Amino acid sequence: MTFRLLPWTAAVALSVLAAGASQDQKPPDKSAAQQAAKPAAPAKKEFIGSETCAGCHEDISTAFKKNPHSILETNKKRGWETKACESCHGPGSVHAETNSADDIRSPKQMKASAIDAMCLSCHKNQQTHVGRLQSSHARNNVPCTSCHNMHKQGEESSEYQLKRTTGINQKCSSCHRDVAASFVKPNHHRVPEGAMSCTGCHNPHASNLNRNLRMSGASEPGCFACHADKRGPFVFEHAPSRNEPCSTCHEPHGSVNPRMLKRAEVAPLCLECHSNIQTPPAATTVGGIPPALHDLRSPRFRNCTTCHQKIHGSNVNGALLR
Amino acid sequence: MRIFLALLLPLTLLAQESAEKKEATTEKKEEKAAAESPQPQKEKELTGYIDVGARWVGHAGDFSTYRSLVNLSQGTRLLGMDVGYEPAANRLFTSLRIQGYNWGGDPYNTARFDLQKRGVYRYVGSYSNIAYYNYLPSFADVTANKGVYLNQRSYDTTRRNFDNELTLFPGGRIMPYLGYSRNSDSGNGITTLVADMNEYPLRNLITWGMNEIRGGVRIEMNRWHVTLEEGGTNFKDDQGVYSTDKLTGNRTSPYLGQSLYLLSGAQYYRVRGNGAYTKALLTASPWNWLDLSGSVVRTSPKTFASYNDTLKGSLVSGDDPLLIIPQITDSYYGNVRMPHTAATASAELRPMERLRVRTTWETDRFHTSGSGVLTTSYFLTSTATTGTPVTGTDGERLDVSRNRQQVEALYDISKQYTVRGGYRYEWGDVVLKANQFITDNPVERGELQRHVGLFGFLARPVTRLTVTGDFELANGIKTYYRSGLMDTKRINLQSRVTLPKSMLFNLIYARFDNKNPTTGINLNAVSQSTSANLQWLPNDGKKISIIADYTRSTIKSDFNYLYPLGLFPVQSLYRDNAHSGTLMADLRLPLGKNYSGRLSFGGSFVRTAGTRPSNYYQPQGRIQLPVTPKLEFFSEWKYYGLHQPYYYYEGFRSNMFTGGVRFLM
Repeated sequence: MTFRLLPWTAAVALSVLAAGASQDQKPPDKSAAQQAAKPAAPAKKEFIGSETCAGCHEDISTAFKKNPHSILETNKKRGWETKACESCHGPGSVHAETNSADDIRSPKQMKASAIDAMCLSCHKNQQTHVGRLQSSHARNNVPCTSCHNMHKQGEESSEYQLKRTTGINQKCSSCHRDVAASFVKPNHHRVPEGAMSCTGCHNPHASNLNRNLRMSGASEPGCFACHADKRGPFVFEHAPSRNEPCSTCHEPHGSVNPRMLKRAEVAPLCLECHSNIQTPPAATTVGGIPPALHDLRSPRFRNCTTCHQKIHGSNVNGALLR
Repeated sequence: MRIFLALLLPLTLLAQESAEKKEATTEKKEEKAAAESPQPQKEKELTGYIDVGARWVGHAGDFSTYRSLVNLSQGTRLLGMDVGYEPAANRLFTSLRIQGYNWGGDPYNTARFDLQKRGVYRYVGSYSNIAYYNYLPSFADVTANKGVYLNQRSYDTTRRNFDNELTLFPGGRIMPYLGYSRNSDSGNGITTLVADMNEYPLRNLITWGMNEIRGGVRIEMNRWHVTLEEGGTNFKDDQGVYSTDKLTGNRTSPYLGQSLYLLSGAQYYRVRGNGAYTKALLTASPWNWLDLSGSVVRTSPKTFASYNDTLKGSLVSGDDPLLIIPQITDSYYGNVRMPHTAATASAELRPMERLRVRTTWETDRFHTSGSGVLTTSYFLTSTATTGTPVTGTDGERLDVSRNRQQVEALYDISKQYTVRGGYRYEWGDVVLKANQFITDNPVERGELQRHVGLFGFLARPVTRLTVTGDFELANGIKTYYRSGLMDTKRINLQSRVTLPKSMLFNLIYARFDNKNPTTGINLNAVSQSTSANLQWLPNDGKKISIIADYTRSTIKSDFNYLYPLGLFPVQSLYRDNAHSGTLMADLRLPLGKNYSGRLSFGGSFVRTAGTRPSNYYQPQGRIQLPVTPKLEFFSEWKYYGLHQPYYYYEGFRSNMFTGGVRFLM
């Protein structure tokens, strides 16, 4: 119990400290984005509007009209009407006078957390970011701009690339090379073929599940979105396939073994768990006794799923035989 | 011959250079005219491409393995289509994008449809049809010692996914949405009909499908967001197994001096499931120093199943193992419910500009309660019209509770360095029906308890170098299963360095250890990989781009288990030492002024040693030549080759050539 309360106690204590520390912060009635955009010396830097920006950056301005962010120019929801450029780059009055890159906010020069803070000032309160704080991308300071670009056009734009399966897979594999290498193995999900994308299983923005796994239906792992027959519930559950991840038995990205299993033969995979001759508390783990009548020297018994065919759960038979 | 033609065809296009030059000149004139014209140039409304072509496939070796792993066939195909339409003025929509890949007989067909009127609605629909052919001879090959390679757990089905979602007023504050998804599978396969003391491989007819319908509303304000969703699922599974041939089954020896066989057999399943769910998601930033996020999902799926079978032949009576009888029939009805609640809550506090503290709490609880009634009739003679019925009830219970709490602090030491550290506590318990052979208790209880330390850093000492580290060190007290996570160590290190501006070098090291030193288990599993990746794209890859990577990965697992016959301890040793690599080069071919093609070549390989050594090679090459500004020709070659020394009979090699044209919009 002590351990259970520890994180929350720490969190509450920190929140109290934080509340005290932030007394002098700006009032919450203004949008966070506008607050983030405000300069240290507000008298000098002021918003000048996108039209002024277009005077020098005509090519960017023209291309930006096709960018989804261009909605900021007209949408009153975020409070950036007519100054969409400055919603990310901050007030541009000084930059417009000096023409110096040092006088305008450039996400390329910002630290990852600052980039996220800037993007999330608008995007944080959206459905896809529920679970962001647990996600590995957020924890590892992977900024939004690692995947999304704002000003590239046509086929180079992330708007275009991230709507194509191959574009998504290329983007993910540019960092996750070790995972991409697994897909070269003979038995794999059809990702290299372009029939599936990484985001079919993973939500790069946020997830409550490990490995940023996407959820299917209500709260099941995303695997069941395509393998609905394994979803159940079953009258006779195979407990590990219900309360352990599919990766307990399968290599989800790729394997040299049939069915993407973690072992070359099925029997050892099953017997590694089914080797208890006692139950808890005498045994430290649950799992049954090995089938003493099965002689593994016979090929008939080397693949348990030949008979225990409903290995993910059966509605008919407790031994998962039919 | 066709193969040579496919290869030679692009070369003939070189002869069209003069025509291209004319095209280019005309194009230049048009550009000049457009530049001189006071009228602004119109934006292209239609963009994208359509690839149409034909593929020729030649293969040698085991065709079943080829189909299980590659499965591409020859013929004319719509290889790819990605068309966008953004009309300057249209009342119905502002943009439309249609994508489709590999249509016309390929095993993986996908389509995507994206239609929107900005600010009014957005509809996204996707469809995939993936052939699932799995007939690897080495899997479930019970008769391999007889020289017959029959995979008794094989599939030849097609799996379809259809997903649709319509959102109203996207980008607005209140966005109602409606969605429908369907996941289905149909086809046939081979499975076993399991009778007492023998099992018979039969053809299996497979058809199942799940529909999901959902609707809800997203409310997005500047400071908070709420999503409320209500949905429901409907599942249907109708499988059937039948045979009217006499089968001797997998048993190779007589049973009590008699041969067991099946004269005819049929099994029919009818499974129906449904469930409604409620989902609520919340994010909020009440103050600038605090972010909150949470979710609650409540679902309660149910399944109803009925099953009937009729077996005729020489069969062992399940009621009396000493009795051989001519006929058995089963009739079964069962049902199960599974109330399931999952909830999460998380917060990020920013007490100082450089410090972020994140805490999360998660719980996942469900309870499965199933029961069924089975009536088995044993027919003692072949002339009997009614059997002796034996009715039994059975069921199962599974209660699971899994919880997790985590607190982590991230501190920006400077603009270049960030460190983080934290702690996670995982706990839970499971109650399930006990194995009657080893205990009198009706249930057994397992527990989960792990303490996990979290560490990480991000370093950007110079602009061109980024190094990240992610470490987890866990001390497991209890775990549910012998193979479950216990004492784990996770290391992820990644460095990205840009040498010249156009050259990116990426180095990744990942390692995961799971150890359970409990006597009798002695689990020691280690998987690690080291990847080096080089991307060279001078001038943004306009003339040449090279992407190369090499990965060395190893999986090592030592695990004690009890050998079934005799229950003596043995060790499961699994090894997989893999070298894999990919090289892709893309070159611009300057064929004339304003006229260039592209040549791509490379491929990938994997060579593994260990428990199941495998060599798999996939080289490829592609040439793409423009014919007119709106038309390109391409020709492609791919090779697939698999060799597995222990399962030599699964090896195959295949060459495939694809030639086609790309219509540019």
